[in-house]
Amino acid sequence: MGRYVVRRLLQAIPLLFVISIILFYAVFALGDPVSRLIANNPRTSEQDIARIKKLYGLDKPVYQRYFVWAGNSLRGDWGSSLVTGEKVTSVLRGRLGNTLILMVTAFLVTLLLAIPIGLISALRQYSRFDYFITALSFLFYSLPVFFLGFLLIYLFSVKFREWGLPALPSGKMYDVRGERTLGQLFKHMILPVLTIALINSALYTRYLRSSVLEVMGQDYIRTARSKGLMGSQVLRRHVMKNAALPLVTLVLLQVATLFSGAVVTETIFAWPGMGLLFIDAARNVDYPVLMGILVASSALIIIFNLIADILYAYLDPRIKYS
Amino acid sequence: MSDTPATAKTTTDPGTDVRDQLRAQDAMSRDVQTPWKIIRRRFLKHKLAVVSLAFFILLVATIFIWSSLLPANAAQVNVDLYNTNAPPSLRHPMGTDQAGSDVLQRIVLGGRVSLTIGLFSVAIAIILGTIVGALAGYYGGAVDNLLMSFVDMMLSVPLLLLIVTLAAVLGPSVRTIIIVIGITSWMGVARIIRANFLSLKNKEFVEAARSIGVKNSKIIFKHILPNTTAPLIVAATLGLAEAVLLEAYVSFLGYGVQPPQPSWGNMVSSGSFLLTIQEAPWMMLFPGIMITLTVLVVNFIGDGLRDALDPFSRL
Repeated sequence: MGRYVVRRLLQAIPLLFVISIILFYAVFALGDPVSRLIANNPRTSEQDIARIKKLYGLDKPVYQRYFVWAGNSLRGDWGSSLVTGEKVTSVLRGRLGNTLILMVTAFLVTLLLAIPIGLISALRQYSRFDYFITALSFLFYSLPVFFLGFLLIYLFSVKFREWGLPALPSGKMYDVRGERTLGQLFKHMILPVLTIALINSALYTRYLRSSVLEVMGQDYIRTARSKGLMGSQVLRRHVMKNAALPLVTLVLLQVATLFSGAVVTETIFAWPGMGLLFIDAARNVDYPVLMGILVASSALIIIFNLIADILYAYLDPRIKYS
Repeated sequence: MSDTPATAKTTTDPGTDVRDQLRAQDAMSRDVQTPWKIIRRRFLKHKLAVVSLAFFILLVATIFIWSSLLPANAAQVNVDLYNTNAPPSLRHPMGTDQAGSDVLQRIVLGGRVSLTIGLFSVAIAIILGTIVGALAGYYGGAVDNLLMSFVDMMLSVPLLLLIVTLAAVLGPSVRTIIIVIGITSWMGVARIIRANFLSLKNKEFVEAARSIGVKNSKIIFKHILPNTTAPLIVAATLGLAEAVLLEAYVSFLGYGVQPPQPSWGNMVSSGSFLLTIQEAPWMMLFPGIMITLTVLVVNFIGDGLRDALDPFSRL
């Protein structure tokens, strides 16, 4: 086990290294940073362009710039935002909390919705409930996140106000002039959380349903039944435990995406998290911030992939480390 | 010697004999179950998938024929300056936008853009994925390790962030979006093809081909690849749904198709300001419904195809 973990870790490091090289090339070499920087000022002289290039180190070849960037990054200096001049690390830290508040809540709501629904759907296979849930999950699975978000805004923010019902806020974390209370935060969170949870639970429900059905068809379930165990006991001790295995992987891989946040959801609801930061950085072609978010979120995905593999091997003794 | 069978035949009426033979042949060919016949029968049993396929064909045909009849300048379709932000009516079945353009006509034009991007990017993804998967599965060893590490690497970068970054640095356009979606969504195909090649490359027919000296490239493309058609078709169909959705996301975020050229994604986006949602909700409702419907029916078709093509599939 220990050797397996070490070996996987050693594989992860060059992987991240190569990813950072490719991302660096994609961000810096494909585009023309200078033309973006001077886009608002077409009368920039040749000398100014040379000066700007020198200022941002753009006069050196890309591979040299990569090594400078990589060296600094390893020492914890991720550069500064081209727009605000703030350190990238502190910009990211400021946004991470907001993203986590949103995503962790959405994640818990997703599980609370999906686990009972998926389970009942599988236990009552081909019942009316099962058909209804299957149809619904297909629908939500095909619904673009932004469309669902706007439908919710239309209903709960616009129409509710028209009808004189208590309307929900359509964006931001707090009212602009209101106090920053927990109640405020809760009210602003309902719609974005609902958006993410509805779409994600469609996927989870499908997953859990098929996984439970597969386990129910296994011989050891029949054995458990035939030796006289009660239905609830079989369900809890034999079905649930085994059916939860693939869900563990799904959940952990989803956790990895927490960091990059829900780009789309945060854009719709103007939620000041990582996703919105990323979109702003892309719009301003703020290279250091873009690189920071891309590399950090890739690193997180690699780490959680690793955790998922190890945990899976630990939970399921049939899997051998190799 | 040659006339013996002829003399034997003259004992019976030659006409009935031939007819009998033909009838027997006909009966046989009717009973013979070619794989494609079995697949077609199984697919036709999947009612929802059949209805979806009919709807999808109708949709694609309508969009491509109608859009070719509309003026080339997408920005100025049927502009009705006296009716800006007009709700759906007989004259404008889906209403008009703030510039007075007919939303229905923009949906038709946007649909052509969205579907074209979807189809072309899936084609790129399928070609890339097939090449990588075939090489990795067939040659194994170091080639396999290298290519599959590359797949792992691609899967470790958040997809939407990568697409937006590439579109942002390359400058968003229809061609950029097709390429970017294509080169970021081939990994699933590569894995499927590789798995198929791994199980097929040691089969007897491959062995036979190799033993008579058929070249590797010919074995890959002529002997093994046709046997992976089924999973490829399913992957392409589900990939199309994914690509249409991705285009919508990227255009929605502002890095896809640029207005005034319409696409379903940027139409939802331009109808999504709070004031617009209040005053002209049809601007985002109809393109949103179109995306959802298209993705939904393509997913149903893919599901039906998977059930029809793979007897062991469960989901």
